[in-house]
Amino acid sequence: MRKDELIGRLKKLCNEEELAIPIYAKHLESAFFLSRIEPQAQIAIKEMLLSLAMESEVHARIFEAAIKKVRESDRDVY
Amino acid sequence: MFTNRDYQDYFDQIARVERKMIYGAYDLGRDLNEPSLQRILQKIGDDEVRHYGYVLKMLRLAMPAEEAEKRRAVREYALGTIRLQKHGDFKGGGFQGYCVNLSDAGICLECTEALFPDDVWSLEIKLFGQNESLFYEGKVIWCKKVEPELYISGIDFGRVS
Repeated sequence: MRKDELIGRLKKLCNEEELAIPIYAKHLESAFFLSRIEPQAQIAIKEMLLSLAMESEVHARIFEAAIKKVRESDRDVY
Repeated sequence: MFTNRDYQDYFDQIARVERKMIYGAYDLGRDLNEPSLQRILQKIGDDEVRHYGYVLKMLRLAMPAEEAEKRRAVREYALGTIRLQKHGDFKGGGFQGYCVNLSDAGICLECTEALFPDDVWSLEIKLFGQNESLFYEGKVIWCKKVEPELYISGIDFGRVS
């Protein structure tokens, strides 16, 4: 795979992680979002959504670092 | 007030996001010849598989038990790549799809092509974590556009005449 294609695909993955964060967070502040659900389940769902958002941030940073490394490398085929 | 349908739509949207990430990371890792990047992509893909499990768990928690029970994807899921080829087309070609869930009766899959009801397809399915491919033939029962250039389809294995 050529360097340009690799950078493009890494950017796409990075973008997907970044776009996912607001989706995970969309309802976290809403008082109504989980109001129909049992309190214990509400806590579990909020924790999982937060965890997804935090891990997506980490993944996006990993992709950014990988893009930088590939871009700065002399290598052209991967 | 959020309805069951709202919860279902919201968690389905997250599930699609996760599947896209899983398949994107694993596909890129497979297409590369660079061990250090492959390890990173494998780890991220594995994280996304775990996230996908969270999404299904959230859906189970948010939906009443009887509603969740109706949804096969909540009960069981199988992730992997699919090679789709029009039935009887021996010229090669075809295209790749991605598994959403799989049972003995049929498959739910995602791909960039619209599949037309009643068309028959040959499928080679490679599930993650399994070495051997599965081979099926099935008829398209339904197809829905869920995002630009992303279609989700249901194929029934029992209706090939």
